[in-house]
Amino acid sequence: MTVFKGILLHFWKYKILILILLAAFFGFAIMFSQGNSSDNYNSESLRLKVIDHSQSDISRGLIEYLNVNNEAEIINEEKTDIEALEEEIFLSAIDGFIIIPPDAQPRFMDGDPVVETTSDRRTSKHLQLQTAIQQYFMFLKADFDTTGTLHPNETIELLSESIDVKIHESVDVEAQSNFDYMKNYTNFAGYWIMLFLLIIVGNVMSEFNSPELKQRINVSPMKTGTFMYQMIISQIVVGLVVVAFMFFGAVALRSGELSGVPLGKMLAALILITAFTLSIHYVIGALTTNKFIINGLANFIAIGMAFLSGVMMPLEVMGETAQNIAQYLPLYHFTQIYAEADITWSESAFPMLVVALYTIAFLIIGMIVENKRKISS
Amino acid sequence: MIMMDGVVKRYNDLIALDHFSFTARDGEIVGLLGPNGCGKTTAINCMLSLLTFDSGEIEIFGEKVDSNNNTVKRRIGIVPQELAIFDKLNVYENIDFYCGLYVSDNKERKKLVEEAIDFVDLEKYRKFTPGKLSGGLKRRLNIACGIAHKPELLFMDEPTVAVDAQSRHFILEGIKKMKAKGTTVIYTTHYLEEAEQLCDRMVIMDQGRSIAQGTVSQLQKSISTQERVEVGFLTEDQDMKKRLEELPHVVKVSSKNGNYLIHFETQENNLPNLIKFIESNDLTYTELTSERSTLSDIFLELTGKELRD
Repeated sequence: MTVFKGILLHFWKYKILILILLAAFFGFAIMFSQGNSSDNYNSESLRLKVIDHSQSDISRGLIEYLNVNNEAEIINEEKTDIEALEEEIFLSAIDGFIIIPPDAQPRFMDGDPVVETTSDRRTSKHLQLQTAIQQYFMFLKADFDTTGTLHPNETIELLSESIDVKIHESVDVEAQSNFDYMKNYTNFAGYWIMLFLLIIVGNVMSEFNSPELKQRINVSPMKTGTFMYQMIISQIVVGLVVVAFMFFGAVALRSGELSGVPLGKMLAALILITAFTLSIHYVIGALTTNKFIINGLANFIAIGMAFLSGVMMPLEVMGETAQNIAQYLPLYHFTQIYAEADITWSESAFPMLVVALYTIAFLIIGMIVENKRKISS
Repeated sequence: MIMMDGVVKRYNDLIALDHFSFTARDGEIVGLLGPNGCGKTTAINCMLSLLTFDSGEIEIFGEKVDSNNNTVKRRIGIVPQELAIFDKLNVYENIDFYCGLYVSDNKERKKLVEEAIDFVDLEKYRKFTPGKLSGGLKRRLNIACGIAHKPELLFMDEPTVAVDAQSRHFILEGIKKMKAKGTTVIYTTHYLEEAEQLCDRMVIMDQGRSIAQGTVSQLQKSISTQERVEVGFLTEDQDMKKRLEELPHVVKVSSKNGNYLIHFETQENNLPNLIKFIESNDLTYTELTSERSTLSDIFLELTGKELRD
């Protein structure tokens, strides 16, 4: 197993680069993992101050409505010091203040903004205040448009009502969230595996395929078949180790958040994309041993294919032509293997077959190119 | 050990080997000499079955060459002209890899690798990758990779190209040591002084053909000029050239830097005859040097061109 060991030893020599690439991958994965976690929002009781210049039905209704869930203090308009109120917001003494102008009612009738609010725009409390005021005027206006009269008290009652929402049993929000994360993770892992294998395997094998070294190997008693066998086995071992890192890395990263994720299909997809990438590498290796060309082709193929296959960005946002092209690319079919959370093996079988056929096709092309090169030399 | 008989190798219209024949016996160092493109490397590649040939016969160790004959391949080593070593592997790992292609037993291989490192004196550099080695040390590593499995027949294709004098001396001494241990070496080179110093026999190639074979002395005998004497006189004489041509064994007399260059067909008594001539004619010479014909002369006379052309 000299060649097998020699190739693995070469990969070991690239350990620093491999570690950097792995660290970069998992760095991104952890970053996305945190970004993907669900945010909880709880409404709070706001401390508000209101300056009511209007003293109308709608202004009184608004203050009453705000007081249902918040503390809205009416302040004397003559003692109003806007700067002092702003400072109170800055010091978090209050969450905001509302100025209701004298012409609030006519403004409301005309559909113009009725009140002025001031709050800290950086906090969620700003949004809560805006939403509360908007809700009040939206419902009041709807009622006014229907009946032709103002009923602030009925509007407040209406806004206080609640309904029970029952989520349909088949839609498991947590499972869907888990699946969405793992789908994006696997997409990215597929792209990363392609890039990693094309660059690292490409660079290692370019040495083994260089004419000077190949001559020495050909002169030795090692049979061509044995050499090829050991070369393929070593590449498969490296590919499987990479897949294991990607797959079990995700499992470790998302332990406890894997319900609803078609892990088996994702693993199968990663294995298939590894095999496909090695077949592309075989073609590139048959074409050239120049490391610059190999690295250039690796980037071109991996990034180009990832971009056009919906791995980097959803296909839906791309044009029709791009979507049509995507269907002819193996990486697109790679993503279809685990396209849905509840996808069945029979549904995954077709895209799996397509990726496998692409692999076989590239192996055949590689063999033809290599044979032509041998004949010409 | 090696028998090549009437081998023809064509690349489309170009004839790289034109009925090339040659033999090498056990324990010999045979030099393949010739200018660039004369077919040396093609001949070696045919012997190593790296290239197929159109006609003729090649036998090594009494067996016809065949790329699938692993018994023969196991007994052969090669030191190619280009460095064939892995940039990422260190000295030990490089030798171990190539030795591993021939020797599967770990214990035996380890011993052979250590011996090879010792042989090329790279002990201090065993953990160095080729990038950290000088040109001469890289050449030594290239040799170690070819000899670690102790081949009985070794092909060395210009192993001293671009090597400093110290490393060249080291390499040539190493080859002599291998010969002493019974290894047969097929050695190609541009450097005639190396070939003269090292080879038991030489094959001079030109345009894919073997134009002469033999030991240095046999080759010398095959050409017309055996000795050249350069002589300069104090006084000029119009008939001097004609009178010098009348001396025994003179092939021709030519002028060189105001002196006369006399070509003799033998190496015997040329100087005594010339001195006798000078004394009897009461001449005074300003310069007198004698030089026996070299491999370069042989090559020049046989091919009509310099070896490095």
